[in-house]
Amino acid sequence: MSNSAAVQIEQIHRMLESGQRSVRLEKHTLILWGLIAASLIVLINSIITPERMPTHWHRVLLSNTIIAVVVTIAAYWDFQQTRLKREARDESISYIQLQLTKVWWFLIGLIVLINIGVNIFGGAYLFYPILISLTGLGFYIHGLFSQQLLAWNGILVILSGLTAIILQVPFETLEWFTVVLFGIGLPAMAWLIDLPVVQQNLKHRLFASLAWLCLITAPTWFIHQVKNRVAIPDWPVISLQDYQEKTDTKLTGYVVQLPVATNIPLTVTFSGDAINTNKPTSVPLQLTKPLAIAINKGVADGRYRIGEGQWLKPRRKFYAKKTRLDAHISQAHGVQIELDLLLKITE
Amino acid sequence: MDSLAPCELDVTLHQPVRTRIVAFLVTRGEATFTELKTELEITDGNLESHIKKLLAAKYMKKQKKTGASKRVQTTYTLTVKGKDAFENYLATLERILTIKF
Repeated sequence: MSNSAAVQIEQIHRMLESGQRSVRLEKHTLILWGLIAASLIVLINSIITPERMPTHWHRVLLSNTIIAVVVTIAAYWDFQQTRLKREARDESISYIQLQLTKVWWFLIGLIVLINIGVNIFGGAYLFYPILISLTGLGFYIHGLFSQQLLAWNGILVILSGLTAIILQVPFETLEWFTVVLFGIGLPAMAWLIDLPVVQQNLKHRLFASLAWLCLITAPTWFIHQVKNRVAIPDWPVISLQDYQEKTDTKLTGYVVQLPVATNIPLTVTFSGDAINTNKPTSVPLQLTKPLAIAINKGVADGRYRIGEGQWLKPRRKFYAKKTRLDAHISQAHGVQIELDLLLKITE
Repeated sequence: MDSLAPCELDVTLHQPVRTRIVAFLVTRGEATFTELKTELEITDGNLESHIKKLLAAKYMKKQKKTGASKRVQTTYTLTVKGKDAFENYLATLERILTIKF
């Protein structure tokens, strides 16, 4: 009798688990959200640029308005399609699925809020790792009630986001990783999760997860290599003084070599609620290492070299980080404000 | 299986297909006829007869909803009586196992 009872209990456990893991993620949902997120990142970054729209808050407002409109339309379309497909297959939308949809909406809302936050308060570098990790978290939670592969891939995505921060992956590479994750990774996952061979056993699922990870990291690595490949300028090397005296700089290219101790004035303008600079103030900076700058037909084309190092292309114009800002008042020195800034051109 | 049923085991639930239907609905909440059929891998007639028994015992109820495509969809959920009966059934099974060991 007890053997039959044990079999019965085992069957019950199997059905309980089956009921718990019965939430299906529709193919169209993954493809739709993947392509939309990838397109938004690429289009917003290439259309809404400081050159086209110099005022910062205009860019923030426009980009977030576009995101809100596109996400709302996509969500409505996805909702309708999911219901129609479920009804056509005579399937219901379970209570767990409704709760999971709320979790996804919470995560999307959080991502939008973080995007607005970094636009206002800074820390843009962390945006993509956070976006990647929150997406992974969404898949992990969904996977707990759905296909196991989703949960595994969710963990891999979370680890990718955290690894990116630990390894200090360049911002541009992170951006491309995010685009590849959404644009290629999500449609690929839509195809993978329902493959019968993937469902067969643990080994197959593990292999599928690792293959999927390769699918999103390999294109990112390739893009990183292509973007960072810098041709060495084969032009005459001249001094800054020679460059300034030349009249034919627009005809050809030059490499302007700046030796150590070259003065580079930094013009600063401050404004604030109770303080500002009367006029732009010049702070004298000095080079601590020789710097070579490629000038193509009178315009710096972005390539540079520090000392005898490799030729590089700046990923951004400058990396500036405030490390200290203090205000003092004393009898000896009166009122003083001290600001320490860390400037990097190699980030 | 029936031969092992002691008098305290719920006769409605002490049938493999019906036990699986109830166990599935406990965690899933609700399911359509198609979903139950896919999950249990049984014929329409077989499933229908077991559903009828669960409905008659008031362990399960059916609801009709009109969806986005205007089609009427029937879903099945457990009643409070059904959930209680399932809990009692599980407790009895566990007791049988404990007696053995």
